[in-house]
Amino acid sequence: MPLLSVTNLSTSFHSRRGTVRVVNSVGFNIDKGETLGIAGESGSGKSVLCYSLTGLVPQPPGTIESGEALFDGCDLLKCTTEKLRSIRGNRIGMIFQDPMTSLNPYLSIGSQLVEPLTIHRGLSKKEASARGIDALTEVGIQDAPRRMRQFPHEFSGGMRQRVMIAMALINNPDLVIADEPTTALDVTVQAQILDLIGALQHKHNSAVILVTHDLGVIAGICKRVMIMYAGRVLESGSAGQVLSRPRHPYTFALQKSMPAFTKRGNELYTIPGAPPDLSREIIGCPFAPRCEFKIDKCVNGPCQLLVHKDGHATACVRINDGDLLLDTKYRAGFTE
Amino acid sequence: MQKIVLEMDGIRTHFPLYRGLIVRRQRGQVRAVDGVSLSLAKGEVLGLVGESGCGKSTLARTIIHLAPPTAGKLFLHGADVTNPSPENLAAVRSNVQMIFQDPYASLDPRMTVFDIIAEAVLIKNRLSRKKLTGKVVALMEQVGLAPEFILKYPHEFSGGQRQRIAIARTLAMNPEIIIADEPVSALDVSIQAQIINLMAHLCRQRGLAMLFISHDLSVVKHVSMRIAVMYLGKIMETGPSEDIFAGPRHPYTKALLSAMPVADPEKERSRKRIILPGDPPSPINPPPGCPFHPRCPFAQKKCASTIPPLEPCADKPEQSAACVRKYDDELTG
Repeated sequence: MPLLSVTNLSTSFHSRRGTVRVVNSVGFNIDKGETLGIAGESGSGKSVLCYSLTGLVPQPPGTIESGEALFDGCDLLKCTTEKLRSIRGNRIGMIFQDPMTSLNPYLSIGSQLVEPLTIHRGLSKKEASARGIDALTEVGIQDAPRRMRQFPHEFSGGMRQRVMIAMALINNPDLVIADEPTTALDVTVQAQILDLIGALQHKHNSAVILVTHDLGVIAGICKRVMIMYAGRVLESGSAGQVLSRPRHPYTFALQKSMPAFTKRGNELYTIPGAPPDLSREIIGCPFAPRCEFKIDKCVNGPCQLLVHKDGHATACVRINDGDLLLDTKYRAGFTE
Repeated sequence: MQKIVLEMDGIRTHFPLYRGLIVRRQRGQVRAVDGVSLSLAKGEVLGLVGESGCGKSTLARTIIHLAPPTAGKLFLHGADVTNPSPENLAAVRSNVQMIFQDPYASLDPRMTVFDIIAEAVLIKNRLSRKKLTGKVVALMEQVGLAPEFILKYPHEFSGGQRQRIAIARTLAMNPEIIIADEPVSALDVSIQAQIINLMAHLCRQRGLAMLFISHDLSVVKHVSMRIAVMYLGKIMETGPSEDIFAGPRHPYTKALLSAMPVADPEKERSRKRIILPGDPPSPINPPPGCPFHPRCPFAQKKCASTIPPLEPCADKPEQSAACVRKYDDELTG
C-alpha cells in the first residue's frame, strides 16, 4: 500500500472574475522512502497542490472541490482539523520555498525549531532543546547551542534553509513536502541542501515530494517525476523516462528552452504564447494552443492521462493514439 | 581584437561601517569589490558569475556611479571617468545603461509604458508629442511589445513583458554598453529563453557591449563570449567561455560548474560533484591569503598566506586564474 495516495484532487479559488481551477483532477501515489518530483512553470498549480494536501489552502476563497488523499488510511482532505494537526509537523513535514519569510523573526531559532517536539511528542523544554541541538548539528550547523539562541536575521539564506529542514525533519516524518526548497539559493548552496535532504531521507527512510521548476534538480535526486501544466498532470513516470524520453510535447518544449540544450550563439527555443486563463473551462489539451505538434483532435477532443505499459503516463492525445513520436525523429537535433 | 569600450583597472568599492550611537566611529569596512580589473570590447558579451554577496551587483553599480569607487580607475573609450563632473556623469550614464533583476521593482507602478519609455527618450532629445509617440512605439516593437499596450501600467504585465519594457527603456538612450544585472533570474525557463534571445539579438544588431551578471551558469554559458568568475570581491578566473567550461583552472570555478544541475538523470547521477562546505566568508574581514582557501578542497599551506595574483596561464594566454595551483594535475585533471 502506498504511503500517500491522491486521487482526483481539484482545488479552486473564487474571485471576482469567476472560479479559477488551479488544481484539476490530479492523482499520484508515493511509497515509503520514495522521492517524487513535481515540475512545472509558475502558475501550474504545484504549490497549491502541496498546500491542499496539508490543509493550508485558505478557505474561502479556496475550495477543495473533489478528491481523496489517503495518508496511512486517513483522508487528509476530509479529516477533522484536530486530526490534521496531529499529522502535520509530526508525520508530514514541510519545507517552504523562501527561508527569508518562513521563519518568525520575533522568535529565536531554538524556540521555533523545538515547537514540533513539545507539541507532538510532549517533551519538556530541556529535552526538546537537547534534541534541537542534535537536529541543528545533523544539518551541518556548527556551534549549535549558541545558534539556538540566535534569531533568523543572524543566519544566511542557506543556513535558514537548513534550519527549515531540521524543523521539518525533527519528528522523523514519514513524508516531507519540499516546495521549491532551493529556488532562493545559490547553486553551490543548492548542491549542499539537496545533498542534505537526500542523506537525511536515506537515514530516516522518509518519502519526499520535491516541487521545483528546475528539471536539473529533479534529474539529480528524484526517482519519479510528474510534470504539471495549467493545474493538470501532463506526464508522469520515472525520472529516466520523463527526462530522457519525454512523451509530452510540453516536457519536450521545456527541455528545449533550457540554455544547456542549445549550442551557444544559436537562438534558444521559445514556447509561443502564454499559459491559459484558468478561469475559463479548457476543452481539449490545455497545452494545445502553444504546441508545435497540435492537430484538430488536440483542441476539440478529450484529453486524459493514460498510463502506458511501462508505467510512463502522458496526457498527449497524439502520443496515446500512436501517431506522434518525440524521441526518435525530433530529439536527434540537440543533444548537448 | 575589437576596440575596448569599457575598462576597469583595480576597482575597489568599500563601504564604511559605523558603530556607536553618540560618537560615531568607523569600525572597519565592507570590501564589496576589492581590486577588479576587467575590460569590455565593442560587441562583446562578458558574463560575470558568482554567489550572492560576492560583489557582482556592487561592481555593476560602481560602473554607473551608483556606488562610487574607493580606489582604482574606470575608463570609457579610453577617457578617465573615475570621478566625473556632473555633466560627464550624465554622459556616462546615458552611454552605459542598466537592466535590473526584478522587473516588479524597477518600473514605477504609477507610470504607463509610454511615460516610462518616453522619459528616457526625452533626456536625449526634445521631441514633439507626435514624434515622441512614434519613437516609443518603434522601441516597443523592437522589444516585441504590441503598440496597443502603450497606455497600460506595469501591473498589467507579466514578468517577461515587464523585462521587455525595461529593455525598451534602456534602448531609448541609445547606449553602447548594457549592464544586465540578473535580468532573467526572476523568470520561468520558457520566458527566460525569450528574453535571452531578445537581448542576444539586440546586442548583435546594434553592436552593443554587455556585462551580463548572473548566478546561473547555463545562462551565462549560452550568452557570453567571455566569462569572469567573482568571489568575495575579487576575480578568481577569467577567459573565453568555451575554455572556462571545458577546463576551469580555479577550484572555485570547478566547484561552481559541478554544482550546476544537469537535466539528464543518467549523466547527473554518474558525475562527480564537489560540494563546498559552509558559506562564503564575510567581506568585512576576509580571510588572509587566497579568499577561497577556507572552503577549497585543494587548499595547501601556502594558500593561507599568499594572495595569488590573477595572471594569464602560460599554456593558455587568453585564460587567467588567481590560484597558486593552477598548473597542478590534481586540480586540472
